[in-house]
Amino acid sequence: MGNEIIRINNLSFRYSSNDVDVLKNIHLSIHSGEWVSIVGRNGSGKSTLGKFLNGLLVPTDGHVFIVGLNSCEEKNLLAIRKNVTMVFQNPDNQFIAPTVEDDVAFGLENMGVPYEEMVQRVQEAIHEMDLAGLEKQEPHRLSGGQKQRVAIAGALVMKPSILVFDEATSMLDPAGRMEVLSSIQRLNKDKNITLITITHDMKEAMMADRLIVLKDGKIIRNGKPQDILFDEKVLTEAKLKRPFIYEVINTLREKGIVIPDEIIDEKKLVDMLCKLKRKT
Amino acid sequence: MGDMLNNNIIGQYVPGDSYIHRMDPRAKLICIVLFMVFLFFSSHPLIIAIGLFITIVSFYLSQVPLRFFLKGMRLIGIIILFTFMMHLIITGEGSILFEVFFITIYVEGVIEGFIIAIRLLTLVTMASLLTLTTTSVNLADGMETLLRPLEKLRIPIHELAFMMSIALRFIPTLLGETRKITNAQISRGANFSTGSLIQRVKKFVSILVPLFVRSFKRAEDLAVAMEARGYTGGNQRTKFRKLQWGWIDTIAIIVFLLFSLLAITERFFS
Amino acid sequence: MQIKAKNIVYKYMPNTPFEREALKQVNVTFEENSYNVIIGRTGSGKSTLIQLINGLLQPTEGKMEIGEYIISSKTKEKDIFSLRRHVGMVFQYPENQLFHDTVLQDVSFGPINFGVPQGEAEEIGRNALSRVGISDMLFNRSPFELSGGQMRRVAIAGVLASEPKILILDEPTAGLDPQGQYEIMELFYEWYKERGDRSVILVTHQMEEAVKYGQNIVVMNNGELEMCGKREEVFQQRDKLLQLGLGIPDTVKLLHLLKETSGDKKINTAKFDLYNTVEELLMFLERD
Repeated sequence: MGNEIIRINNLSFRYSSNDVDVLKNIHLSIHSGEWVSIVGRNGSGKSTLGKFLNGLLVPTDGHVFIVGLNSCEEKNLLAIRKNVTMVFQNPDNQFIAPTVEDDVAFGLENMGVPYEEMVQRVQEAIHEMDLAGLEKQEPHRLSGGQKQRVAIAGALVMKPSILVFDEATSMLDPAGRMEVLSSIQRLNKDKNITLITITHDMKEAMMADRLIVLKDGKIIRNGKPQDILFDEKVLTEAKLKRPFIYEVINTLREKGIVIPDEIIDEKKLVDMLCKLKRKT
Repeated sequence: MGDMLNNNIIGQYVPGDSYIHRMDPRAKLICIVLFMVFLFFSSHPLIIAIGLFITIVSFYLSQVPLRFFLKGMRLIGIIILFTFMMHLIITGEGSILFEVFFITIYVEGVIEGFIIAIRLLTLVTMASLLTLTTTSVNLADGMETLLRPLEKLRIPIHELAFMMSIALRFIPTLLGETRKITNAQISRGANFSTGSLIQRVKKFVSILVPLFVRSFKRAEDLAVAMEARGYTGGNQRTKFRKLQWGWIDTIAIIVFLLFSLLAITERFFS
Repeated sequence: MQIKAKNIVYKYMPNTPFEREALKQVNVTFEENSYNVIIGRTGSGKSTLIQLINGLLQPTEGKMEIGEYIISSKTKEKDIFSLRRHVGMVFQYPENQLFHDTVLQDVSFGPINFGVPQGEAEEIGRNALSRVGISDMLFNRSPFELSGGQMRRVAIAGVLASEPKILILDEPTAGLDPQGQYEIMELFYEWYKERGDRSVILVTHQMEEAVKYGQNIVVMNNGELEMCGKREEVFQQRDKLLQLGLGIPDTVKLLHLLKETSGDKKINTAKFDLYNTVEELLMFLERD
């Protein structure tokens, strides 16, 4: 694991002074190269937390440091936004420019990157996201999955060190979701980009190295997916749904079958069951 | 209602790779403006005939399907026919062609009606060719570059063009949304085709309110997405889109300039 | 009411360069009092098919029979109107259709359109709202002040208030969290069970929902009806579903994997819930 890249100290937040707190005393530290998933019910504060990570919201109570930069200081904001790029939920509402390549270039235009460099970086990002051939397409002719990959390309083109996905797959069909998830996975593995995925899909959350469970604006658990997903108490408290495979393992254990801790996917479970049968 | 919308060709883009499609939007805009202005300079039959010829050649080169075009032109065709008839009836002097009851038709009326009809037809055809072969984005880009000198007059051309490009990009999205909301309300028994005018207007509230609410939400999301990607305004931005002027554009401009010269010569020197 | 699609062809923007054939010769029957699920990839024709059932679209060729109603390309709009009362439609993200000043007014919109007197319509509206779990404290609030989940419930109440016989659900749980998804799906199932003449047609991408509630499964692909049958029959055909780019229920996936890895032919892969799947696993372990 790399060095600390995000540090949040005692962050509390409310949208207006007479409202309830959306976030309460958040302490969080994320290291470079990590994949962290923030989970919780709708309204638990997870998207609000996401907005603090690239300075869309700045703390009035507590501190947020991104790559060592304090987000409270106005002069740091542009550098923070270059370092942390975001992909949002609605594929339509984040497609700004008229065609795929224009949209990918949008962030670079804003940074005043020269034309030749822009063309090259846009090309690279488009290839990275498997969008070659779609450069001139207009958004309404793309599938949801394609639109989200354009959004990822538009984020990647900035060469960020941190990518935040705010429920980026929740409006997609299964095919689109797979497209996007496999891209996300590749980014974390090959490019060593720090990933933060905000989601309520537990299958997705399982892919992360670490889970952060939010409830009513508070972090109620922070740890490995395996540890959290077998913890009945946390699941009921945060109203999370355990992925099917965890349900099966749990039920088998209740029936007296001994299953080692490292078994957390279908393939391993099946292999183990086959071995178990041969032994008996 | 659906049929009228579906058959409307003005503003529709037909994808293709013809000579006309490949032209620079600036060249197309200049040509159209030249054509529109100078077609009305002269009513000499030869000039009108050349105008018609240019229109036919342009249409042929654009490879827009004729049947599709004619279907979309039905309403405009009726208007043109009506104009023609008006000219026949109103023109009150010259040599008489024939008389029916109390209506007298003069040769001059026929000629004048004909000229007006051809003018309208060529104009409408050329104008729709522009939108049929140019994406709205390119059109906006073309206009922005052509209007850029106006920035000296403190008219915020960049901001206006940026707004326009976002508006254009969201038209299909909004149309889709309107269709969805309309379908939802029809399914709940809303009937938009019956009732008095006031009743109908009232029913449209059930479409307009959700549409506004959704558009505000969209605008909000869009603003957040733009901010997250570092948009701060037009000052130090660079531009990714570049228009490309080719030899076709030069030739087209020359042709339309020649036509304009011809029209001017005819009007003032003959 | 029984629904029968006979040789349905549907073309968008016919006779233009944009013409697209969304449905090609579709024949399918949905029986009265049945829970049906339509699955298929985006663009496979699912949405077109359901819009033909309440006359939002009229077939280019063929006939749609819904109870006594027959819809063809020549049917007049005014003859379809009363059909819509019997066929309720819950579209994707139905909260986008809310527009009235108060929650109760919005829910009564449907019944009033169908000619129910004001007072009675509000009574129906109140019942529909309490059925979906909206407390009467919210009845006179603006629908736009509610949370996303509450707005979805109000919109659903607005469809139920027309007292339909057939309920068409187009991804009704999209965007909700797991708990919200569960509650909404249970709500529809209770509505369906309540009387013997109600039917549901659910369009979904979520195989877990499809196997949990669907008796009959219709699989669409490229504008054609690819498969149609009982839940057990359709979900047995794992390879075909995968080939069509569709998901497989987790239960079936796990049992199939076990069957392939162990070579035990006796494993029954047609299990659709946790309990039965675990039973099947235990039986596998106990077999010699």
